[in-house]
Amino acid sequence: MAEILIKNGYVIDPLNGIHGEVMDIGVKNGKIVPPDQVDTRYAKIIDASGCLVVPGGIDVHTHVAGPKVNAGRLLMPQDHYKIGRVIRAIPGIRRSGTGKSVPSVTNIGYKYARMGWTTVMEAASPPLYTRHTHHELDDTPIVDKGVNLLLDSNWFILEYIENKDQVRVNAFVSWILRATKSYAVKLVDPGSAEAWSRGVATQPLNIDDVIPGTSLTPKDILTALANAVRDLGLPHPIHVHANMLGLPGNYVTTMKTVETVANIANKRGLSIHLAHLQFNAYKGDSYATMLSAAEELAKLINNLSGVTFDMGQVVFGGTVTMTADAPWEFYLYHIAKWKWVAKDVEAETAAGIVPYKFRRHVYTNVIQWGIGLELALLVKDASKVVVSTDHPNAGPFTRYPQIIAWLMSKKAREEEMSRLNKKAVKRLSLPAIDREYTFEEFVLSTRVAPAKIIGLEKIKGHLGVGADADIAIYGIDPRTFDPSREYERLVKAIKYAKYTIKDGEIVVKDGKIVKTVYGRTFYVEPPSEPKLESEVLSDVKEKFKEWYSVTLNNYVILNEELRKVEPIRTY
Amino acid sequence: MQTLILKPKYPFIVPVEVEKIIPDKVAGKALGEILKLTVYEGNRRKTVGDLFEVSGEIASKPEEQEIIFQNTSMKIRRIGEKMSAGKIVVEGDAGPLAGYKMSGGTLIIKGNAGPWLGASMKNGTIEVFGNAGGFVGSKLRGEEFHKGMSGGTIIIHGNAGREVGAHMSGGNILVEGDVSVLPGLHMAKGNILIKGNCAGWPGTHMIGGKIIVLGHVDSMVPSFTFEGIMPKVKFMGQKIKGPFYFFMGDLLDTEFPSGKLYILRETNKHLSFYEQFMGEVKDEWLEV
Repeated sequence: MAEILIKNGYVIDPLNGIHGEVMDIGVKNGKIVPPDQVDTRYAKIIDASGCLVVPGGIDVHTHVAGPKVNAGRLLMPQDHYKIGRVIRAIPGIRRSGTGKSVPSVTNIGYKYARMGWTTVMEAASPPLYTRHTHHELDDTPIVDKGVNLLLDSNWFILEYIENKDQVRVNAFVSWILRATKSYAVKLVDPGSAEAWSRGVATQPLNIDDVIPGTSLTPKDILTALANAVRDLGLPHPIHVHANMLGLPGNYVTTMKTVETVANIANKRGLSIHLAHLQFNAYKGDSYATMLSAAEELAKLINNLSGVTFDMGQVVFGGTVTMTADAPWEFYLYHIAKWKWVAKDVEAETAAGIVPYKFRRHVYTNVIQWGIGLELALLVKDASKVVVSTDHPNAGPFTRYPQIIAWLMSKKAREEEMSRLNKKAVKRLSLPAIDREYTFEEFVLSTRVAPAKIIGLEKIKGHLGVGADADIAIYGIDPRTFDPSREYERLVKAIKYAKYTIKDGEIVVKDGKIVKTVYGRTFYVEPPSEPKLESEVLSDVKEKFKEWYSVTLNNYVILNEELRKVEPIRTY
Repeated sequence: MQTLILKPKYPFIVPVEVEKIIPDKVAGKALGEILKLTVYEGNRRKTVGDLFEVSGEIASKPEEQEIIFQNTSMKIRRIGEKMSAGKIVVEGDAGPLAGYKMSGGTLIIKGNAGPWLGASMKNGTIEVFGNAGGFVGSKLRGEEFHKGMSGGTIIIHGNAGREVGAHMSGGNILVEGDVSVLPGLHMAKGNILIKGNCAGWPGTHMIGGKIIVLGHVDSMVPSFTFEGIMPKVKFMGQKIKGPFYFFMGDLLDTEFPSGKLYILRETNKHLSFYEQFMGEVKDEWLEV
């Protein structure tokens, strides 16, 4: 591996207390080393004077792989027609691909790298189809990745919770995370998929509703899985898509969700990550009277130290929504009236896919747009906020630069607001917010916060010695560049990074892919008690015959099946 | 009108995409520049000069430019895509997506045309002397409803494939030969005249527009209401003599249908049972 010396860059690295300094950074064997250890005779020297040097970006919540994304590709052929969006193949350097909201697998890696993002976490994968997810992730070039596992409507877990058997819940979660090589526990509208699969509920469940066919409420599932995550010492706290997503008045449910698990914090003090919070911050009793509840939720998050969230920021334009919240997609299909995929995953979960267009003249969509930004701007600590669009639900990830421009420039927000539904803009508190993110807050919300949330802050999200050499270099100089006025240049600079370095290899130069490498897949190895686990496994084996269409042997994923794995031990 | 002639240098084995060779992009350029235009052969980036022998004259304005493709085969795709003026003559076959999204000018194909001929076209004229594939004047798969052809004229002297004029919202299509199933699927506006036979289900899901079939229709969709017998129908300003069975539909999509379907009485004896629903058939309805 080549040695690299990045000279005279303007470095922002909050985790190491560097708040903007001109310094050199050395890279050797895929890791960051002190600059004097790099042999300048052989090293590749990058002149970064006048450039911003930051760690590689991390996306904690994005739907980039798995059967759901593939079904989205089948449902959205029109997404792949626009010839201008093609990345053409260059033999030996890159492969071709198309697509905007559900891009080809290769394009996902290339487009993330082009923006300077180097780690992505697939947001939701049903355990049964996680093999598919891994195969797609293995073909996603450049980025490091991990899988969040859907466990909220799993029949085994529901049964153990019903028997009040927390020990077995822990043992099962531990086994299934290892069996499917997954990274974190994801809850999607806890219990709703189960109610939907039974054909009883056609609307999402509220947090206190009893799940049909059981004696449980979503609260019980939340508590049990949060306890399991804490007891197993998982690096990532529970990743929750809260109940009642997308429905007006749901912020009360969100607050109850947070209260339920606020006291169950992991080793690093984190208790819950709220995914795409924008969709769960609605006030009002119908879409016509919908209002933003960002102030209430921001207050709650400011007061609690263990709560983090990603924005789920809406960007206007056509996209496709995909989530394991099947009843909500059924509801959305009747709003959008175009096409719909519904999918039931045996004893595990259910999912839906519906194309949707966010429009500037629609009242509800404008309120949604405002809520995401209000949340990010009203929460005081930028290290609790993660920039995301919940790709592709609220917009494709390629629009992150635009979101960052909205956060860093009031003028950019005002310009956008002048094009929106006037009635909706009047009801937002966004016009009254003067806060603009600084460059350090940009680094916090796209690098540091996600690294802390996924628990990899030792190797990701900073540029200290020993960290992974994932570096993004943008062609702007924060000393002379004013993002609040020149936001268009900011968008361009972030969209096409000057250099992206992944594991010590230059993969992007001047916004073009120059090399294809493949990242690692992270998964957790929680502790297990052999005796308890064999008991749980014999239980699983017996029921597998009845509940599943595959055998247990075909369910467990082996290390050899994956390209490059890195287990994270939690004991 | 100046004429530019392109001849393939060798028979193509993989598809060649020639969307760059249209009067709008060729006119006003030097021959050297045209030879350097990008053309993809499969996934390989080539230039016009690599694949075609180019000769002739170049006009200064697109309206005065004529482009002739000689010795072509079905492997050449996207001929005349997005052209807005001038004339393209294909002396041979044209592959899929010929005239896709074209907004003006004339495209003449002397041989056969592939599927998606004139898909989503907005204006202009396409004339095919051989047969055409499916989805003539249609939209591409997955796009929104009624985003097919919205204007212009397509004339096919041979047969056409399935779903002719699917999702069309304007313009005229004339097929002198036979068509396969589902002409005018999801049609919203515009006119289709089929002089030959139809393999079945004309006008399924249509919410507007007009379809005329002069040949035999193998089967009808049951969700059309029979309105009566019409002595004659207008198509592109000309009167076509009947009498025709006149249907409105499609009740699957709308309660108050405005899609009109005319089927010639003479060639469709098997539909005569509809006549019982209108009582006595008066002679004046049948007069020609």
